[in-house]
Amino acid sequence: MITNTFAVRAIVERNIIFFRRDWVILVAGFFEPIFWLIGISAGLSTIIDDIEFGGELVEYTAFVAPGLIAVSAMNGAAFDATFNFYFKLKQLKIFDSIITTPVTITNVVIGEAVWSVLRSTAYATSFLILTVLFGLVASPWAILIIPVSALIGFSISAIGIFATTFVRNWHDFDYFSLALQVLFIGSATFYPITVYPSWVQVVVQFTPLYHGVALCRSLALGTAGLADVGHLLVLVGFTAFFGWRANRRLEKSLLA
Amino acid sequence: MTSVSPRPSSVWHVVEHHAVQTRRTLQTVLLSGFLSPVFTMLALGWGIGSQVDDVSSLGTPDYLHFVGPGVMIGTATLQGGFSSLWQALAALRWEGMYKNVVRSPATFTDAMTGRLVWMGILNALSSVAFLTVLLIAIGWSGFGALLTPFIAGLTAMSAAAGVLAFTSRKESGDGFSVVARLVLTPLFVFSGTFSSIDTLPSAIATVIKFFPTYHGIEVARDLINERAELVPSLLHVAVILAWIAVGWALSFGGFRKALTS
Repeated sequence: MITNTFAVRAIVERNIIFFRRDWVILVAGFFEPIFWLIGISAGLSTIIDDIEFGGELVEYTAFVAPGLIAVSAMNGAAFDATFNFYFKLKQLKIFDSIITTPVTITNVVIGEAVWSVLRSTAYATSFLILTVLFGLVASPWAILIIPVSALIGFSISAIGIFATTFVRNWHDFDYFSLALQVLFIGSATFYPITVYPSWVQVVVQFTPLYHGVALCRSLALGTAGLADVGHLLVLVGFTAFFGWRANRRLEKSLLA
Repeated sequence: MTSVSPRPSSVWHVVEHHAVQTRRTLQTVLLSGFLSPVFTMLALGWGIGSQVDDVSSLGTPDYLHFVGPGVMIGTATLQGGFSSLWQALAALRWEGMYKNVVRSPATFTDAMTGRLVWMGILNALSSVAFLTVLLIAIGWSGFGALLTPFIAGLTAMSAAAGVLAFTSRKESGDGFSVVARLVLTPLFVFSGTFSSIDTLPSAIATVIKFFPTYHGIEVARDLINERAELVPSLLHVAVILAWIAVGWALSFGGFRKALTS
């Protein structure tokens, strides 16, 4: 059932056709992390000394840039997995119609996730190219940021769809915006995690974006090591667990 | 044809309507107008602050003193600007709230003026909460700091007025997310929020001085750091007031067309 690639592709295609009319929105979303890169690091790099990461001293802009690649991957997936997913689920009720065809709920979840991941990867890859052009990337390993950004997208998408199954009305999305902002600012994006008291460092380990930021950073700076396998596994774990739960909850509510 | 200059009593009725409506969605204000900016301010203030070696170039005792007022006014810009997108379009066209307003003694100018005044009051109020946290974190810095919520309210009004000039002419929400991402976000990020404007690329620094957020941040930062001088501060405020006036005037035609034809 899961291997019904034709059904999954149909769900992805529906999104592509839909956004073809609204491509400006897609392009606009790409710029946001670039603004933050310029706004924060252009000014601060003059008053912040090099930062220690993975045993090496790194210039502040080069430290922040890979973190923002991870953020762009998160942002790319977040909107489609939450707000738009809810719109299709509750307002348009298109999933109710779709599952009367050979397409299953699992196909829908995977298809929607694949679409949001395409968006993630597109943002992250364009940003990566930009950071290479700015000379902010120190290692050829950085090419692996592309599959990592897809994994970030999948984990955020799985968590997002899962959380969206609990949403009662549009006002609940206020909590989502707050959560995204907290992840964006708090995931050691703009400063090393060692800044935090140790209990906060432990809490941060349980959030998805931190692991994405850490992975992108060590790949871009060429300091990747065993710890990064751990980050990778956490993201895979988030994706598998929340994807499974989201699928279960949707099956219960849509087939009820 | 009714009078086009707003009448205070009618404007106040529109303000009251928005106040009642906002009370029903207080959670939105609490999360996006208070918790989110407070988290941003404290995380960046302490987190980035711990990495800054040369505080003297900031001209403030530490980074929190610098970034706190920046985030306060930046947030007012976002909140004010956002309120003039989908929300304003809904009130003007989709839900038709303002069509009901003009069936009362209130006119279309009362509707748009009341809307902008309410955005100023709302953001001044949420800035009081923000300021309270900031002052707990940095300590009492003198009475000047108590003026910053007014600056935040005016800045929110100016952003709301500027965006309303655009929205009042629109029949649908096309382009709203572009305004949010390509106008409001840059205003938040580039207005000298995180570092002195002189450290930004000069093209950005030049353009940003035309917008109200930069001026709001300058005044609020001077007030919080007890270094505000009367004349420069008044000039900054004058720029913000000019944006409110121009935004108001440019929204006029759109509101009249939507509500009196």
